[in-house]
Amino acid sequence: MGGPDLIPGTLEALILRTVAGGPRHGFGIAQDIRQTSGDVLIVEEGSLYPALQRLLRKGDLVAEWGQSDNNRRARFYRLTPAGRKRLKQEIPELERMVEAIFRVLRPAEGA
Amino acid sequence: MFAEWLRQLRTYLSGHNFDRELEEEIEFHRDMREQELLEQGLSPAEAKRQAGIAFGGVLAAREASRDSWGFAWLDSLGQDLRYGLRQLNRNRGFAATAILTIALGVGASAAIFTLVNAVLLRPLPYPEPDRIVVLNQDLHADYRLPRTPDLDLHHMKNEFHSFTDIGSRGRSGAHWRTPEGMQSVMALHVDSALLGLLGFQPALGRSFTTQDEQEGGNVVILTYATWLSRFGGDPAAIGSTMILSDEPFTIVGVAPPEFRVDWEFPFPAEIYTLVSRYAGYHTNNEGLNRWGYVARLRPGVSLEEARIEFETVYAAWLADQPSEWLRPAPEVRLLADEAFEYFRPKLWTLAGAGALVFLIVCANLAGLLLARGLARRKEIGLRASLGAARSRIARQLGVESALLALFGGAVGLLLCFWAFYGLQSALHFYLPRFEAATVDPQTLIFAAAAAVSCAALGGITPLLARSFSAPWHSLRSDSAGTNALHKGRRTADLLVVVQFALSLALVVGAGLLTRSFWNLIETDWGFDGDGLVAVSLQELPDVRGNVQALNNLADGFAAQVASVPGTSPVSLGSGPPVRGFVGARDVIIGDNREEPLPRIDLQPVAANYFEVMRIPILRGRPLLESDREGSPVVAVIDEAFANRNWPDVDPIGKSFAVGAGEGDFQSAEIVGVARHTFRNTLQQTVLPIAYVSYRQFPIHNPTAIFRVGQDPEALFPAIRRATAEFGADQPIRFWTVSEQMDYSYAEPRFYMALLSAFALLALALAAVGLYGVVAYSVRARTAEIGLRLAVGAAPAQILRLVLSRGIRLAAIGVVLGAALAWAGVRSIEGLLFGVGAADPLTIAAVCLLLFATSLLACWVPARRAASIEPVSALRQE
Repeated sequence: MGGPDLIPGTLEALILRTVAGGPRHGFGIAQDIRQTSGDVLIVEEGSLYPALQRLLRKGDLVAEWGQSDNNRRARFYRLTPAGRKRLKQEIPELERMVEAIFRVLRPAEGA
Repeated sequence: MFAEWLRQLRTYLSGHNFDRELEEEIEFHRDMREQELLEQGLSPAEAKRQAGIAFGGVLAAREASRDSWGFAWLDSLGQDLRYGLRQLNRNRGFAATAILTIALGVGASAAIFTLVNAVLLRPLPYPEPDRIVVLNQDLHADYRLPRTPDLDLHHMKNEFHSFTDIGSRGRSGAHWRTPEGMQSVMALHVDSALLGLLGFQPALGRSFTTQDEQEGGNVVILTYATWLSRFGGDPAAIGSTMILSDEPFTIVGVAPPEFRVDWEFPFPAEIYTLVSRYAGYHTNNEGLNRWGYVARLRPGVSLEEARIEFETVYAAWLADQPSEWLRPAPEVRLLADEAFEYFRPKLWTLAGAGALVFLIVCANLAGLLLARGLARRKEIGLRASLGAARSRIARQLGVESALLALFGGAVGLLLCFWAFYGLQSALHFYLPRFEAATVDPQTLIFAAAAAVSCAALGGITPLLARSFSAPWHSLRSDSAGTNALHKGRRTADLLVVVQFALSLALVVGAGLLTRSFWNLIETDWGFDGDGLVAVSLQELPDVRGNVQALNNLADGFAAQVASVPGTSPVSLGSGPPVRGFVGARDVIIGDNREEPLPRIDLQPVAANYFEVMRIPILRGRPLLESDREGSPVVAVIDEAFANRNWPDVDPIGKSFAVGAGEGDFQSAEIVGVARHTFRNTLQQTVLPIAYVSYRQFPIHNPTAIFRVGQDPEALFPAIRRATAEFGADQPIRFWTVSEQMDYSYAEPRFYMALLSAFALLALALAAVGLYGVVAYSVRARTAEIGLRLAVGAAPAQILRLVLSRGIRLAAIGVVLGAALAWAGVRSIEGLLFGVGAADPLTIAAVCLLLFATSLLACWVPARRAASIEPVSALRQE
């Protein structure tokens, strides 16, 4: 209900952008999104992991097991060249969408 | 997209791993959340509880994660595969039969494909081989045309727009002095232009250059095989010297293994030398150069354009030559066409036969699947009624067919290996590029395609036959249900008709080839080849023309051979009796000077030739010792000569004049007529033969001919020693004549055997198909037959009824297949010997065979039908 996937595909884009900053595990991704968005976008785990699997399937991310900060075994996600390309396309696309939404929500003054 | 499927497949297959890892990952996440909450100040218990809630349903998350991979299709595919395998396992008889059937079709066709591919379809080993042409201006096989000089294309490459380059080639034997003695070696003469346009890249050393040609050119390139066998593959061979025809030649390079120029010849050349160096050698009796020309088409120029240009230039040249010259039309042909011209029709016939067998196999499979489909119609009807989508059922049946194709293809590939390598070892005649051919990836692709198309063709038929009525109809056993049965039976009948129609062509072809082969074996060669051995001496050029020296050479040679015990009596000839030199000469009979003059084969021999060879003299006398220098010039002609020129008269006492070179003619009186002998293979047309005394017409390749009891090869070393002492210092060659004669049979025997094997296979398959149809029909109509018997029909009547139904099917097939059979037979006309395409004996035999086969196939079910117990049959309902 609500959350970051109001516009379909937003969640995947957010994940890709986060991972572009360096390999992360699932918890780290959710944390990053929440912190960077100032606690506005909270990703539920129930939607995070399916989204991650989707990105794995599409080949935008690859995953491998590694050591977390506190020396525990965790699965890290990394951006692939295909993922990088997709991210570059997604960001302007989303911008366009958001602009369009606001053009409807806030019609020009004096109308 | 493929990448995504691969990822899906890989993840799907990791199965448990996937679940485990996901679980671990989720657990990690939850722990981290708990940690975070702890740091925010909650109590451990509270942190744990909240972390659990925040996560929501773990199971749901896991399910959703799994779902996002979209494994559904993989799941149902896996289901179909497992179900299909189970079905096959439960019906092992059907599965084995179907798999074997597909394997037969795949194996046979893949083996033939590999053969045809290796010989014909593979491109020649040159860059852009479809741009390389041969320029023909003389049809060497036609002995009737006068030997006039060719247009010398050697220096004309710049005068043609169509060709970027023109190269020359020719073949001749050369004498190579080795430490072991004089050896004969086959040389292919080329020029640097030819090697250049063929894209020749030496495996070792270098190629010929224009500088070599200008400097006199005592250079040699070895073929790869020769380098291995005669030089032990030693790199030091480059730069070493070969003494060829008593002159030193430097070895400058080694050709790559697959490189060849003389594809038409069974025995490849062993060395390459320069045309310019051998200009003097490669001449015929009249001293004319005879080169073959090969050219590369300029990019953008079509074959037709090149042809027109060549014809124009040639016509202009011909106009400047003496007007009595008659020349055939010049031609420009693709090298590939020319090289394999002889083999192409035969191999395509084989391919056609293979295709027929494949189609028959498909029909068999279709029949099998049809029967199976009918047997399963209740099961399928039930499934449909319970809600299975028609597409799902169809897909599942498709998977079953695919499984059959997979297993059938695999077994078929094994069969193909066995068949192909069996063919390779059974081949005792020359088929270019076949000896070293292997089963390669193209064969695999072909086999896969064959398996898939066989299964597809076979699988489609039951679908076509099945009535697309509502599924519950098939659950009923009354008239609506038998409607489906009926359509199935008609289709099955049609399949049998098709099988017999296709088989007819194969059986007729095999029958004709068998008769041809018998004729071949029965043919009288004209002499007795048993234990006959020929030892021939290659003459040295400096003796040519010197009649006395030639005679001394011949006499001395014969004496040396005769000195070896076990050889007497020894006779002399001008070459081995079979596959030897044909002494083609112009001949003038009486006043007949029609242009161009007819030609005969002039054979100078010793007087005892007829006795040693056991050639019967039909009229007059053989040659005698008294026919020598100074005596009247006489000749013994053969039947062909006599029949052609003196059909109703006794030719004894008549005379003819034979060309002796440079326009001179020597007349000879006929003193005897001998049986015609075949000088080459039995199938080739021959010239009429005239035997003359070697003392009146010198022998150029003295050949000693004698007969041994057994094991001719045991004498060879002794003969070699004896002739070496003679001091002739020339290479000698041994011929076991019976082996040469056998070679004539090798090719026809191969095609006959292969086609017969196909025909038998086809007939067996057709018989099995017919049996299946008739047996099923009897079973299905048991009640009806029981009724007939109950109301008084005799069992014999039932027997006849069933038999006639079955045989009628076969007969319809035969009638329908007659047209195809006719076409097929026309295509093998070139292989026939002594039989016409419409040979009545063969046709009668074939009809009888097909009748007998269909009778045999129907017999058992017919007997079963006749012995049905009426009471139990009626109760069965």
